Amino acid sequence: MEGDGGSEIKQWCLSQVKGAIDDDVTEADIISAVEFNHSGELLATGDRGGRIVIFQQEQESKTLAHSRGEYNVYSTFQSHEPEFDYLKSLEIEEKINKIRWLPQKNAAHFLLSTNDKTIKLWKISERDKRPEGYNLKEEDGRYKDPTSVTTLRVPVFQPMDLMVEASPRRVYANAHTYHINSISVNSDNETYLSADDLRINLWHLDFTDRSFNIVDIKPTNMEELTEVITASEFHPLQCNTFVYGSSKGSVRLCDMRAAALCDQHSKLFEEPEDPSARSFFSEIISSVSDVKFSHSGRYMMTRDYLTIKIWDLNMESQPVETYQVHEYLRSKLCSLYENDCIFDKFECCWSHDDSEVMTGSYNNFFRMFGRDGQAGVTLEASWESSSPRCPLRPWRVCAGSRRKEDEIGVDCLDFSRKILHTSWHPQDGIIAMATVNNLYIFQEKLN
Amino acid sequence: LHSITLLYFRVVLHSRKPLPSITLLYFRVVLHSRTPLHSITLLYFRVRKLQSEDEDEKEPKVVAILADPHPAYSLQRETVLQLSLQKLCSHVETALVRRVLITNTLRSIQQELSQQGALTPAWVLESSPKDSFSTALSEIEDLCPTLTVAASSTPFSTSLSVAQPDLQCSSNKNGRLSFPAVEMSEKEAQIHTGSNGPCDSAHLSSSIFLPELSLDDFLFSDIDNFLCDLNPCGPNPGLAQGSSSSKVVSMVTDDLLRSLTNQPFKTDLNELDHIMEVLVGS
Repeated sequence: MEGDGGSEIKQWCLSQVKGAIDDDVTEADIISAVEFNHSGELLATGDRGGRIVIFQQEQESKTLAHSRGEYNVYSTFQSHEPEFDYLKSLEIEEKINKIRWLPQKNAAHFLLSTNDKTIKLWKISERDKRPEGYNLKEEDGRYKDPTSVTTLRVPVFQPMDLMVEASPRRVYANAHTYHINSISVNSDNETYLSADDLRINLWHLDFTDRSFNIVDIKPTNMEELTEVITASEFHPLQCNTFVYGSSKGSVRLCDMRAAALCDQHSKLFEEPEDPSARSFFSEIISSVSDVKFSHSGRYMMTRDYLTIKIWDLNMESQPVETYQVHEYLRSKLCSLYENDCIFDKFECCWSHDDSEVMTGSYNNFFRMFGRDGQAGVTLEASWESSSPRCPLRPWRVCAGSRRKEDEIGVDCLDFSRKILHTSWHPQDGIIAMATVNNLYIFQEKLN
Repeated sequence: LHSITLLYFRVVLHSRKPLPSITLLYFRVVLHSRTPLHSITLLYFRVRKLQSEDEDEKEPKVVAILADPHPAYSLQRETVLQLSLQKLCSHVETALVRRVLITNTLRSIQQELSQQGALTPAWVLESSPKDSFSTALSEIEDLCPTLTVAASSTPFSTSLSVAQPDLQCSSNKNGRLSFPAVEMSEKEAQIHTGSNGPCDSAHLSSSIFLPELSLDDFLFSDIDNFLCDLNPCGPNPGLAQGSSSSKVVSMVTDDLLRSLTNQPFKTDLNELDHIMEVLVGS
């Protein structure tokens, strides 16, 4: 199917659903992070119970020529445990806030995972052989009595069932007073940043006992605090550049060559407020919940409560594109403030070729926008109303409480079902997202 | 009556024992120097009777009557104000991001309200227009019979400045509380809850004061230590009309606060404190 502009209208199909299908879901199972690795072969999810589950894509199926491989569980491990801060009498949640993969350098895979206070570097490696035939050890590991050894042999590697091991290689602790909201690996592959509400620290992957503070917006008098850091990311190509978004809707780009402490921004991306749209909630809905560079490094995308904005890094005064995610919620802001939904932090992601962007919404809807002028489309993550290989049908949201085929009224939306965490395969038309209960994987329908 | 302002109290009643006891009624008043005399404050009581946890809250709502050019907007503003206060008071461990955003929202509403001259509780002035105040109160009476009932069952109705939580179900029988560490002046604020008819005077104690506090004192510091550290000061020099700076008047003593170590009451104290502090400005 070809559109007028010559661009194909892409269709998405439900590929897989992971997780419990029933409605009974424990708090610990709620997915809090979703991230493809750099090749797309691995998909990691983190949950509120501090666990990480990694899925691996099968080699492409021989029978179904145009179908990409399915994702199956590859490794599961407990990344973070709950802790207690005795000084402040506060519990530190084990919830995984972010996962970021390191580019692969050898057979093993490395990822960084973080909760509110501590970042960990995990090595995930495969073991499919084991040495057998030791001289001094029995097969079960007990040491033999040396006097009972009469002959010598050379131990050999024998194949064994594939075992995937995850081991913590580094623990980067005690560097953040406030809650960590972002981590980002630098393009130099040696350093990474971690950002909390008021500070951003720069780490070297090899050293856990020191980190450099590169941004500090904590005022001397906490009573003067009016703005916090909400998201941060390194530029994908320039190892000296990073951005951070704030709760007031601005994004600052910093250059680490300019100064050791980047409190002075190099660029400030801020759209002037539209006075006609001002409300009590203007500041809250302008808060940047996610910031992502495009793969090309030329653009940057920010997500606030109601919109996605694409910025050209060369133009600070206004975004080059703005997409309305769920403008129909603007009249409901007071209720959303009451039930705290207005504070939900939605993520957003770029397609592999930067031609599309995607983000989540409520009622298990997600929105996809083509940057070539296509209108956005609203799709639903639902295993009940989707069948594999069948293209998803777009939804429309209308006013009031009507509900009919492909159309739903604003008043019927379920605000407890929200898609906050999304990730796009780095090379292919595959997207993964987390509803409260489940992980959904969609594939682009190949014609 | 050209402009009517909404002054919002929330009285929380704990009924754990047969006689409902009253928790701390705690209020502060900020005096603005340029208070126009004709602006009236309407007292708006919302009584919430907290019962055991498995019972539903009974919440008789009182509708405030406003003569307001933009009632819908004011209503929404009032709602947002109320929600914001609830959020700040109830979730002690809210994330910093949320606290900052909610506080900023409150501040902007506060600013708006003070710009409109809304927070001018005229009844604290010496020459308060008593008639209008008592009229307002009788309106409240009519709308809020529960308050009357609750008030009469605990004999605090004659004059109440501060109520003490009934920690052992014994202390509230007299209605008038003692402030061991605080000098009481003759002028005591009396909020008549209706069972005694219209209140003839609305005097505010001029002797118990706390240093001027800002909203942020409560948000970013430990509320319990903070309140316990406060000491009542001397008479408020700024009570007289025409004072150029706003003063904060409080009715709580630190001894009283120290006695409020029971967890359930602490929350309410914080709630009220937050509510009032934010309401009357920093």
